[in-house]
Amino acid sequence: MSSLKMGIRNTLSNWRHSLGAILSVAIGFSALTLFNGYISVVQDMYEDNYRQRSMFGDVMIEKSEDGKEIDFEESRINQAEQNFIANFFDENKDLLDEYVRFLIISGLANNGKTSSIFWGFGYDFEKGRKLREPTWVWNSKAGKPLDQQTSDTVMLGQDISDTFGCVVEKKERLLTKVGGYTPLDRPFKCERDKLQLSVTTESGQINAMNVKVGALGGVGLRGIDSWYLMMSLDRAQQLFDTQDISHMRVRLKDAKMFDTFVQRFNRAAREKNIELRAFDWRDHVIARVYKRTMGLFLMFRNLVTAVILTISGMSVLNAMVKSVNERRREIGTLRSLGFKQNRITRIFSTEGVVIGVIGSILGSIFCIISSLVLNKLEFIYFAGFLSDPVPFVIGLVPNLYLLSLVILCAIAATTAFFASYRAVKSSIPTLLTSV
Amino acid sequence: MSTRLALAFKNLGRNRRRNMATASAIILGYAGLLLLSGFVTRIEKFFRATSIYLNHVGTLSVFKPDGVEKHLLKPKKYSLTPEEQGKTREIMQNLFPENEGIGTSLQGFSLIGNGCKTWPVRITGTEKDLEKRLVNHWSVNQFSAELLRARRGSGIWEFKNITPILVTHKVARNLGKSKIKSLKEDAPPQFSTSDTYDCSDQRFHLRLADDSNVQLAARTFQNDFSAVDAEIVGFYSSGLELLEESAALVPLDALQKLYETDGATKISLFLPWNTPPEPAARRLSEALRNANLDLEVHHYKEFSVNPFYAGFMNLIYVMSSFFLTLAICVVTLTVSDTMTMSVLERSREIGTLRALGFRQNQIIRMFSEEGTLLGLLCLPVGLLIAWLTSLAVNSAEVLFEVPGISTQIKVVLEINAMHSVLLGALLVGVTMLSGWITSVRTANKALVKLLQSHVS
Repeated sequence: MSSLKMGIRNTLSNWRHSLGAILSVAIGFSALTLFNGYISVVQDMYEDNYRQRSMFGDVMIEKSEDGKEIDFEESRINQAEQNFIANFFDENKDLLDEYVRFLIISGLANNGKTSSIFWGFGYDFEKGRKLREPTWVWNSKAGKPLDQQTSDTVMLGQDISDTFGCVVEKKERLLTKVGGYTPLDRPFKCERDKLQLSVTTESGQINAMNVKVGALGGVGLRGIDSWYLMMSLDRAQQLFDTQDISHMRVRLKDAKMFDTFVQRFNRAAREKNIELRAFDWRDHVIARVYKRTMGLFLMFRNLVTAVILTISGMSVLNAMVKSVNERRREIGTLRSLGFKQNRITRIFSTEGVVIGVIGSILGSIFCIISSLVLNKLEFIYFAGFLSDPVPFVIGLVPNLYLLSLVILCAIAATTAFFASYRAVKSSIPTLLTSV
Repeated sequence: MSTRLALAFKNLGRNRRRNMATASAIILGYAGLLLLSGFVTRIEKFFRATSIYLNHVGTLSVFKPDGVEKHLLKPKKYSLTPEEQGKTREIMQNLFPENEGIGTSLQGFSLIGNGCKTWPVRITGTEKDLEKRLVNHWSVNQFSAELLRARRGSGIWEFKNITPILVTHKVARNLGKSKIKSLKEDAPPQFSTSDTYDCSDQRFHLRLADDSNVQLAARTFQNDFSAVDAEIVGFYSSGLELLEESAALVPLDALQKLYETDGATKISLFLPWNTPPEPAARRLSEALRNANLDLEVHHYKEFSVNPFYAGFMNLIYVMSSFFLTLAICVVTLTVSDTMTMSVLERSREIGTLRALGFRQNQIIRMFSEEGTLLGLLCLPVGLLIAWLTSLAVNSAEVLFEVPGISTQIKVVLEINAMHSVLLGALLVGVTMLSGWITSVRTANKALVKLLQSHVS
């Protein structure tokens, strides 16, 4: 405790010496927090895009080994397996918030003049809406979400809707700052509002169905939106002449219960010799773009953090060495008063922590102000595979601030320790006669 | 000048330990920035080579007005007529005689079937000779070798009497096709047309898998139904994960036959690797206008024609620029911090110099030169560290998964000469400025105050 008191008092009384180190910590803190704040916002955008907008929830249930690539047609979940899942869900209501059945669909869409490949899902409209809560309940850029329409309507992704000559009458920026679209039924027109969907059924027969384009939206991922089409599950099953589904997506009451749910489900499936597996949607082949994008962010984050911390560490070390050198006589006095060597290094380390805390507080103030200013500017850009332009936003994440504070305090304390270590080893007369 | 330089050297040597710490901050900052730029350069080259050559985007491409967005909606209306194709090629050839190729391509949708099952594909028709040159382009071999390695079988240019088709591995899998037609005379097919079709029989599927023949079916530009037979001569990778489920490539004449047209979606111009696309696009646009051709010119960096390249590089550039800004700020403040301490410590020395007749701006210049020298001395070390790191990483053959790319690519850190010079100049500028800013105030103090000042 007395070391802490002395550390604080020394920092304040030698504030001129400590200023350099405090500034270095503040700079390092700002750089670290601003960059990671930005990365965390982009990560959240992607997470939100998959988890809510694309209705991935928390867990996927499929006939695959933890999401590995499978033949979707040959790995559908039949009625008996669906019953097993339904029973399991009934028995585990304590974990479950909502689940949605999905059937992967693909084929050729035609409006009488133009054809395009489509790829997408048939799903339970009502339950899907719940999976999109709270941000993406309204997921259409034009028209109403499918859960507010009849079951013969489909939603088209951005680019496929261009192929069919669908035009939103009034173009505007729809994405709100917190994600999701402003709920408004924007009118749109397509060259022809009816489409014929042609697919090959399980038995190899060609089947066709007429549907109405009811909404434009998609999942907000470039490339996927080039083909994306969503329709109701019952219509999709009718089109493919099947009662099977491709997979289930589950939202848990508490995402922390993921492990419990997965263990319980996989055990139950194994016991009944059912091939189904529950796993994290992030491991699924459909979410590969997500996983790889997160990998890229992680790599950037690590590189930037390493560079910034090293530069800041060097800068703090520099300032601490100077501070120690100028206080050699003080160290000598303390030693002659009976202070042990490790007590003195502890005082300097504590001083390092105090410097780290003060620097981090200053850095936080700078970060908050600059984040607010930059966020206000709303610089718009395209963030990788997200198809909607997004604003450049730096997140104010308390955990990040806390983590940066801890890391920089540790760096300051360590550098202070090393800076003082050599000085305290000198003999008392040498220390007392230092200039 | 040499006296001042010698003085700057001497002064740097006086505070060796502190200057070493500052230098290490500059060195690491510089090395980090170079490595990041090396990574970005590599990724950019991969995307550029893949999109321009393997996905036929071209350095420049000419479409009908609004053709980029609407050629699939109204292919007939937004196709280039043979006359437009001829004139455009002529203008391209005259304007850019250094070009590496000019090619016409047609794009559309088609169903590809194996007799039992059909699969929709986005199909591209391209000129055989050009395709051969594009696949063998040096940049593809150097930067997108991973995609070439994913290829199986032959190229479409190697066959004359049949309609060759390349499909992606996933399309082949979805169709249940494993057979690739070889260049040599094939053994008599195990499957013959006299066999009874029974799609529910697994043995029949095995026979189908062992036959390279497929049928392409599509709507013609006149909205009639059309079909042609084709032989799978190879499996390839489009490079883009999202296209892997549905991409196919055939010769241009075969696709024109399928769509019953002599039109084309676009004409692509392939310019030497380092040609800046924007001014070239402006020149071509002007030439087409002068020739009374109402056509649109696009270049490969545009979002509309190359969304993967534009979108991904945009994100990378935003992140890198942000990092660059932060790193420069950190280095600037670190150097300023050190210089401030140094200037304050040497207040009496500044006073003495002033008393000896040195002018204020001479003293400021001396500190600026000290900063410049410190920066300059750090650059070769930073470059060496970055180079050694890049050598270690490159030889480690680390594979990296790029979002949206169908295959893993090798991490190669390319230390770019231009970036090294620019980043180096920036850092030296920053250190010089730090020396200047920190010394201005002290140098302008009254002489008496400077001479009376204490060390700390």
